[in-house]
Amino acid sequence: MSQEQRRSNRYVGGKVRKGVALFTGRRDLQLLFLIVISIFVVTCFTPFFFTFVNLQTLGLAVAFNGIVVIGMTFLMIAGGIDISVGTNYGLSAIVVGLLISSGFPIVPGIFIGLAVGAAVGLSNAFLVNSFGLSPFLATLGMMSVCRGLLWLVCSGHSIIGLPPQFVALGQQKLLSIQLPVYIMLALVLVSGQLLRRTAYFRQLYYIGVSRQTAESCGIPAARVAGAAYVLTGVLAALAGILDGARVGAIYVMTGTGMEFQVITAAVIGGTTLSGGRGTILGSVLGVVLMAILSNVLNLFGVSNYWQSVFVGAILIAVVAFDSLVTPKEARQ
Amino acid sequence: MTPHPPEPDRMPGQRRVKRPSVRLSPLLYGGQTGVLFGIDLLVMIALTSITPVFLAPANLLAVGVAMAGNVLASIGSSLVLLTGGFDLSIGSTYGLSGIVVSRALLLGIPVVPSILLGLLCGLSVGAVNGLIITKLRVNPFITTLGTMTIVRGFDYILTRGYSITGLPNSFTRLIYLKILGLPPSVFVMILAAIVADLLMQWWRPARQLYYIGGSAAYARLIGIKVDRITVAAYMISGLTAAIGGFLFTMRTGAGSQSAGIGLEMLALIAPFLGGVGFGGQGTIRAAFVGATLLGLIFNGIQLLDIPLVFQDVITGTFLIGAALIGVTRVRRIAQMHARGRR
Repeated sequence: MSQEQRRSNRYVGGKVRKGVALFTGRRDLQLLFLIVISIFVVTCFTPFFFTFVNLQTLGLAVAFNGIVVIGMTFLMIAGGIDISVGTNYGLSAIVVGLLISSGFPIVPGIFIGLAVGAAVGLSNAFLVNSFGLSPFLATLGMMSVCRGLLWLVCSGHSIIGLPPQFVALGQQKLLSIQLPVYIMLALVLVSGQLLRRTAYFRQLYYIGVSRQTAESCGIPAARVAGAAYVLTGVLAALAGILDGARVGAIYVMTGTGMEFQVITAAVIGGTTLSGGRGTILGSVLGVVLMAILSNVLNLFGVSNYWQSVFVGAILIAVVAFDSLVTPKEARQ
Repeated sequence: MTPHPPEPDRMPGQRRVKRPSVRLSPLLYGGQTGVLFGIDLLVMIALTSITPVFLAPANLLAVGVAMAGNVLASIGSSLVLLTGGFDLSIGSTYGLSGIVVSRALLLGIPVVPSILLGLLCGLSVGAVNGLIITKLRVNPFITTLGTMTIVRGFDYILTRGYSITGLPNSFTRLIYLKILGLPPSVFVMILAAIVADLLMQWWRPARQLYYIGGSAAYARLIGIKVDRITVAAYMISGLTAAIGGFLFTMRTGAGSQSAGIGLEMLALIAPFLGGVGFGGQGTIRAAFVGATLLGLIFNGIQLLDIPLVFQDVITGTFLIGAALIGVTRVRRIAQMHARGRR
């Protein structure tokens, strides 16, 4: 073998290695690969999966969690977390539903709902930044407070009889796909670009890696992380309102347990709890993967009860895998 | 054997630091249990003056019975908090134990083995938590969030979504048993709190929890088997939740699939109110007094006919408030140490 050949061999090997390295480093690519494979496998087993109606259902299932996971990703990158998203989702929807069903104009009503979400986010930010509470505890407390407020506001009744213009927001189809799916896609694209390209949002990564260092570099950590809390609140509210419009009624229990699904999806998508890592695309693909899982289990007639067992096991498995694969030096 | 100081405010060898004069100082340094106990008494006095029903023995027993599950869960939760972790699976384990006991009883297994089976479930959930956290090095929050969902899933699977009723008399009549004149759940609660508190003061492995909470790395350096003790703490947390769960089933006469939802939060609030867990501090006593405050407030809500929905708002506000006190306290103590070193 001539030296020339050997060099070219090495070059090819390097390219392959480079490709492998790219793949191992990129959680979103791995997930995409996993999703394609699982779609392929499932389609082989059941003819009902790859049908238009089922994919539509899947799209809707992704839409609401997908919108919420965007905010959660921003927050988790900055080292925060928000347990109150689920109740915030329900509370804002209930407020909008009450206003609109009592004859309040729709657009201002929706803005009031978003303001409620922003207010919840702002209180979270306030508790975490001004008092130095752990984000987990502060938002867990807020979750409980909001859940109580929700019951107080609606006095335990679900809201039905929403005006058709509002319901259209969730049910209107464009090219036979519902509106919330487009809204989710638009938000994912925009926020993904914001997180990657704008200096303001890139600060979240620095804050997540080390808040102290970020502060001593002149990053207004409290303000930027606070903005992420408010953004999370607004997005959760938006998703809740859209969900209410899609269903055509707002249930008291809307959004219960959503925080768990969203955090799981983000973690599966490579966003870490300790902060400093994560992408919007990864998190959204995490939501897609979980939606496919639950959809497939439904198609195969697996009881809903088993689904929570699977989801919990997958969550732990993913994080355990990560911590076993990551070399010890990188972890510290 | 000499008693160790109950709350290691300062490390051995460190000279006593002059405390800066702060109005809230008893709340912020060590005396939190006493202050909380005072608040408990104030709430009791207030409730008595508003409604004399409060002091009726039946009502006081009802307070005790209602808070038994929370006190038991708080004991386990305190141990886990001392290791620097969380246990969010407490509520699901509470439910699981009741359901397993009911299923076992309906299968014709005698009472005592059934109860042991329920407790075994609690221990195993705790062991799984502890092993995942220490051996696979997964964050405690994620781990117990995961096991919370998994175990709640098993709760639904084992009950198929319905409560399990028709439990044999030999089991349900145990609630009429009076031990020292107390219903079984109140007796077990008090016994567990006293035993745990004494052990945390006198028993070496239990004392090591404080060192782990202070700094796991240093604890490892001085030869404490950090992993083993952490796993044990999670196992005890599962066990205490399971005890509460089977007592609940005994009281209601049914294995309910939704028993214990939200208990994990109460089991965090009670220790936090007592100042447990911030930087490896706190006593079981403190957690007990915190749980008592919650029990009194929930009782007050019922006695005063306040809509039950306020319970959520109050719980959340308390969690935030308790965490605030804890954070301020840790910050003050850190300042104190910094000043002392200078």
